[in-house]
Amino acid sequence: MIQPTIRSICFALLILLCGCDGEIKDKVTIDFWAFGREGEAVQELVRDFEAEHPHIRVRVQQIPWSAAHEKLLTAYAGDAMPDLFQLGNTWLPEFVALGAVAEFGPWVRDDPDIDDDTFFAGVAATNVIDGVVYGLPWYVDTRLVFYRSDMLEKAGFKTFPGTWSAWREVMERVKESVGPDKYAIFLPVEDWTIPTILAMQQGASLLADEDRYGAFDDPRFREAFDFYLGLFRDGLAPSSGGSQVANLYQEFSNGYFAMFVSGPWNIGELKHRLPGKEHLWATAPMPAPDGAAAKGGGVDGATPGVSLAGGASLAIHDGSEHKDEAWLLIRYLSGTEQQERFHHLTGNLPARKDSWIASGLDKEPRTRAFWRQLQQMAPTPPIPEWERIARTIGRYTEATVRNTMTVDEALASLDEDVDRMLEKRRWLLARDQ
Amino acid sequence: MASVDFEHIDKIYPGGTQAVFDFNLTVADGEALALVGPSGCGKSTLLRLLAGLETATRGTLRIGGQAVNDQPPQRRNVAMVFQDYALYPHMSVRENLGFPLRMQGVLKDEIRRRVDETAELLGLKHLLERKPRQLSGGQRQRVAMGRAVVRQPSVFLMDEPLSNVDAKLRVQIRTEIAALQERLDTTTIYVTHDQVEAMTLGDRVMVLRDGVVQQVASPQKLYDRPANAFVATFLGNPGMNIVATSFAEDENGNAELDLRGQRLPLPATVGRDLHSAKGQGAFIGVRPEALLLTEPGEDSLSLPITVSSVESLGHEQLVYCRLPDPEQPEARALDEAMSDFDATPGQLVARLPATPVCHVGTQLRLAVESWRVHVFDVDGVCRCHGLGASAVPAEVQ
Amino acid sequence: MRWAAGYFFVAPALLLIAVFFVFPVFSAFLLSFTDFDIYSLGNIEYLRFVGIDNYINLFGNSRFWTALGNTFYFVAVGGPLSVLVSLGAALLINSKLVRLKTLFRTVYFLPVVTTLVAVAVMWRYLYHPRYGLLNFALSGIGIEPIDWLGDPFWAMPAIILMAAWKNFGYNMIIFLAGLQSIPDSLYEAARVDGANRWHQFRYVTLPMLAPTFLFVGIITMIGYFQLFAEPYVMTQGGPSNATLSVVLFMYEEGFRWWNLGNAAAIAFVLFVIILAVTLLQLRLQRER
Repeated sequence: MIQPTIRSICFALLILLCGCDGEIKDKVTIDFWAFGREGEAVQELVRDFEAEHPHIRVRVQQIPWSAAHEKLLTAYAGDAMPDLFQLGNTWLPEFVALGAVAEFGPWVRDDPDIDDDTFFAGVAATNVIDGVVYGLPWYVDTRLVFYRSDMLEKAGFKTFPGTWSAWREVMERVKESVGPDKYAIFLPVEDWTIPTILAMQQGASLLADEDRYGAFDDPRFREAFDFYLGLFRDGLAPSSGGSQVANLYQEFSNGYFAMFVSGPWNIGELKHRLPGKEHLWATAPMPAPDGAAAKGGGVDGATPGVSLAGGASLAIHDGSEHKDEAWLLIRYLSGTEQQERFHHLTGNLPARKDSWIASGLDKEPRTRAFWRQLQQMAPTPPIPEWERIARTIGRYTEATVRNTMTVDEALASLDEDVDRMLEKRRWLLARDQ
Repeated sequence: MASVDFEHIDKIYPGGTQAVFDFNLTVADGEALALVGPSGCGKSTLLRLLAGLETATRGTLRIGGQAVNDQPPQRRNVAMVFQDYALYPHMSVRENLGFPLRMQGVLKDEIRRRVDETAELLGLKHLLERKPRQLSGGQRQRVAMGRAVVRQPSVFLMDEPLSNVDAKLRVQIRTEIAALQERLDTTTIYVTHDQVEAMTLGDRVMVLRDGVVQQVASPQKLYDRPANAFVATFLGNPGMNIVATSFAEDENGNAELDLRGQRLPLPATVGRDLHSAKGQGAFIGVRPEALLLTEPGEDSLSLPITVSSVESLGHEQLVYCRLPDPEQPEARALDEAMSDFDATPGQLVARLPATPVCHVGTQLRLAVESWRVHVFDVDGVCRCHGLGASAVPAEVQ
Repeated sequence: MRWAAGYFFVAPALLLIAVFFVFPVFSAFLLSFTDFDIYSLGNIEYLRFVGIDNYINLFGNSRFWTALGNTFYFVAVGGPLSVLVSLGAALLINSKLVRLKTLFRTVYFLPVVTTLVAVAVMWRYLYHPRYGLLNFALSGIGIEPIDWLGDPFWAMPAIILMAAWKNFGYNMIIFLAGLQSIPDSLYEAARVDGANRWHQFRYVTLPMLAPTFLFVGIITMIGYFQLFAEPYVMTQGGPSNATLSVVLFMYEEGFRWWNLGNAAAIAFVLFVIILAVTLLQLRLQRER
């Protein structure tokens, strides 16, 4: 318990020390926290921004992704928030609940450069809580299938299937053709994203009654869960978990498995790590459930099934004294041209549609799968507890994959756990009514 | 019970220091041998060699006639009493005493019986359940003895067993050990740097210096007939007085010694030997109690001295005095050779009765009967005991 | 007024203790009776005093029991293992036959000062089910590859092995100090008394090391009850919660989910457990 106190004291001291380095009068300095690779790449864009706006100085602080969430919360607790910060868009509800982020309403409304169709709808929606805009998408992220086209071809398939049943058949054939030591697909056993995506494709709401209770006993969730577990049970995916795959790229290259479900950063990674093998792999949008037109998916493969609306947003600290300047920077970073530059610097996919078209990303085969997928996205429930619920889904998924629990037990316990996590939310909703 | 033989033993430690040089000794069955010498003389090494805690570099060790060089300690059936007692602190007195028996696989009842017996013998009965830290120094010492006694070993080894006991208790325990040894009649080797202990506890005493034997003899003989100046000065408290003399000749051409103008006649053979081989002179030795505050008699010499200090001991006084500086340059050169043994050139100590009281600065004459004078050559080897007609030639060691 | 002068001199220390120890601990204790969470952080009005509900919920939470079970498993197996390895290493280094003692001492101590992350990276390679050195060695004697970190049965043994390797050097140094404080004459006495090597170890070394054992045992146990970094870096508590420890569980509650009320309750439960086991250990030692 002592540590956070000390940490925030040290941090406050650090801020004090940093604040002393001779701020020039009439010049506004804004602090900007960005994570990982983005924090590094954005410095270049920030320099140009400063050139365009001589009265603003931007101090970029780079924070590792693994520590980012904690660091933001600690900064909030220690009243040391930056003016402007990046955040994973599933975190937004948490910071809204804290009252840590400023409303974007008037700025977005008045901006000629931004309208309802500027960003991918599914991603834009994650920045809106109870009808209020709190962030602007910076880049987008979703999950789809990476596959070894040569292995599929060997099993007799030239294109990637569009429906669950066809997908399952492809996997069975691939498994037959690769033999007992290799697999059709790699799925991390403790993962929540894929079961959740599959359930959302089925139209499962995940939570019920204004997100007051878990809804995992819903038959639609169960159907998705069964499909997912079937892949392990029938030996299509290795059930031993992630530790078998020390190096995903190496194993993918070796043909240990023919598919995996992941995000856009792996386009760059695969290009980089599998040089000369670019013709062997491809991407495809998530298949949709059979006859799923009514459930938000495509009709028998014509349109992809929905996937997660992920990505990062930019938000402004509600207590910041330089909100207008921070907004200027956000606007700058969301501009068509800067989005394109940012994509080239980091490989992250632009959140702006016109940047895709301008740079031809919507035509390039591998990103085209993402372009199609990004039209079909569903946000996860916009509540602060979601991260924790998601982890719990992952945990029960693992328990069933490893056969330590039956599906019935797992889903019942999942509901029970989630209901407990949402107790405070129910109390708050009841109190504020 | 067993005899012990050391045959041509050398011990060189890994660092290259040689602790023992060609050591030969036989300790008879049931004999008590005291090993005495200044610290670092190799006496503890000899004990440890015998116990098997060290291995000899050369030579043969026998216990009861059996060579034991390659035997580990537990097979030698020797018991050892350590200087710091080395009692096992976590064991009670009973367990400490029983430990060697337990290691030998003696049955429980038998252990109990023998421990009780030993405790009885050493007066430890009431202490059996205590831990060593609850005992006084003397009690601990007795437990250490008991642990050695209880196993009825063929040889007892004692490594300065009394050095951690206070002076008064030491006298008491010393007599106890002597009585015990008498009673058990076990071959015992007793290492000490205390000559009184050595004299009282040993049937024979061996004086060791720098790994070399100086003399082995009965306590009395060692005192009366020291083989060399080292033994002479080492034994006795204070040790023997050593004075440098030069050579002279009597009217018949016989060798004599000249001590500050007094002529000391030598037996003919000794005089010839000394004179021809070692031209510079010789030492004479006189025990402090041989110096008397009386008129010199017929067969006495008389030493003119100045009192430099007096230690009064109640029943007697130790009078430190100086002889006048020698006139002969040879004698002065000899003075320097004296640093080899424990004596100061030109200084004498006399053990005199408490009265008459001597005063510092007084000039006196002290008399010595000539049969109480020992003659040493320049290397410190004793040549004869007594002067002139009463002289006895020294044994060659 | 002499007492006043005394208090004046100890005041700075007392103040520091009060500010950095008493106050935080007391606050944490109070915190454990609230539902302090992300909502309360945003608006303190959303803080509720919940009495002992946090503790009741904790005891009703199967994950807590899993974590507690895992932690006891780790302490019960890893603690003795690590102490024995330390003792073995100390005996080896202390042996008169060994050369290059300083080198070995340094080498054995190195894992202690190496950062855990680096150690974890290395051990992940050793434990790799398909390319790992460990499975390679096992295959040499005909044992099927084991998925060390992926199999719920083997994950804890793997963590224990790594922790023992990482930590034994520290206790080894303490044991070495203990061994070196045993007088040589005791061994000599034992040898003369007829004790062979095993007897010397059993009747001299072990009993003489008893105080060291007590110290090492308690320190190790307290440290091992706070198992955190190893599973945090190696397995994140998985697979199937097999390596979830109480502290890792507390960390998740407190710093990942920001449920500080729960986290504080876990901390105090752990504190009580450690205290109880320490007292038990002291008591057992005294009885012997």
